[in-house]
Amino acid sequence: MMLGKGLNYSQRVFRYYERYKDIIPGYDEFLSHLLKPLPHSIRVNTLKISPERLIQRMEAKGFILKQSKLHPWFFEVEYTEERGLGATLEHTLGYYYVQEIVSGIPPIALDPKPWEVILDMAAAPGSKTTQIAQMMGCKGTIVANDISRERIKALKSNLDRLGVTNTVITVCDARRFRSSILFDRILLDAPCSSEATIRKDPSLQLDFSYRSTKWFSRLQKGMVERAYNLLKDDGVLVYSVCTFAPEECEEVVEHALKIGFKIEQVNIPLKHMEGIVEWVDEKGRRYRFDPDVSRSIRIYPHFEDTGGMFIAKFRKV
Amino acid sequence: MPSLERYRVCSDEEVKRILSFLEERYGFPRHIFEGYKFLVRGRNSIWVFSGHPSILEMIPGIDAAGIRALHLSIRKALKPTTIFLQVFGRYATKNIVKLQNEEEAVAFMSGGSIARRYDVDDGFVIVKFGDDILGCGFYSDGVLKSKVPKTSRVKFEWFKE
Repeated sequence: MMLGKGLNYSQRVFRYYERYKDIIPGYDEFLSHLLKPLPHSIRVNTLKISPERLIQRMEAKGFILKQSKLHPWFFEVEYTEERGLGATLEHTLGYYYVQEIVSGIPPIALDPKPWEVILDMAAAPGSKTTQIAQMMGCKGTIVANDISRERIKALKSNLDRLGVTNTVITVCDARRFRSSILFDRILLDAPCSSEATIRKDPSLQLDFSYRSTKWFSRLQKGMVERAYNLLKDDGVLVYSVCTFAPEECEEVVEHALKIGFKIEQVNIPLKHMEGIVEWVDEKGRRYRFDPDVSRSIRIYPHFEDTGGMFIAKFRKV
Repeated sequence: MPSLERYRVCSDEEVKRILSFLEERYGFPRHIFEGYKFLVRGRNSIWVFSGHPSILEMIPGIDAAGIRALHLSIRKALKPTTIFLQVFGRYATKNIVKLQNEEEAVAFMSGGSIARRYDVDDGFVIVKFGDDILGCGFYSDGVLKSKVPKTSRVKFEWFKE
């Protein structure tokens, strides 16, 4: 096993992501983007303020806001102010949430409606839960679950800060989530190897572990199975992960298809790729997935100068 | 894991008392709380929740529901929470303190006190600066004390030049 001693940061990054060389178009550009810091971005909390009013206030403080292509609530933000986006009165009062652009996609794909009952299976720290609440205008019900009591603290504080009134919190392993009602929609933003978050978190562990990826894959499949049983007929599941590993992306989607989900197209106004149907891993293991997995989407950092993300949308039929 | 005390939906009589308090003390029109349920858990807290209340019975182990709205203080006075006021405070019409400058707003939001006479009743008041509802304060004898919880405060140094 190559431990990568003596390699500098960029060499370790290049070595780590090499297994995806053949599936990522514009691979060199992809690599160079991984080394660049992620642009700052926020979501305006329209439960408390209008985008126009927030722009006015933030620009008066020297922040420059540019609306994202993704959605009118999302803005890329430039500033020279050292203290940054977490240290303003507007942030403290819950007028915005510091959120990656790609992290806004799963709730948009979920498309929650007022008065529905929604489950967010792995909710903390709550960027997507609060976005869902905002999309529902706090009408209807969200159950926000997470396994970690520590992370739940951050979730609670974000729900309070943003003024979200329609959410209940539960703390359990989502694979054993108990409920006597069925949900209209479920978001499973699953725990994963998180390797697509490297721009946000350059301290990410850069020793690829096949075992750990397979461990996540099993966990994710277990969570998808539970989601199936918790959904109403015709209910919607959105599955998302911030990794490029096909074991945690297309392999999980294929599993969802096997247990009876039907996959649907996700439409977003950002450049993306289809899910891959074939790949050969670093050990020469060849994978061939159900052709329907191509309806899921992959977002790479060099497409729109964002983080990476994988999203699939299903219906229980 | 400690077993959680369950939430209970307030009875009609309890809701009446809560709405009367909010109307008499702060001038909240009653209709703005249509579509919300008041919940109790424990002896001292009232929560406000806009989800389906049946969820409370259908899912075991609910850790939190909606936002904490009111709290019975040590002196048995009802205190609205900062979080609640930041959501609903714009509908209030009385016992509102309007801070005069950013210096006061920063002092209040970082947990400090302001010595100034305001035309409000003694007790818990709503504190505003410009369009912003900052949160809950306690006014008595010409001194306004911030009741903004530590988790919702700003840091003084953010505003230093």
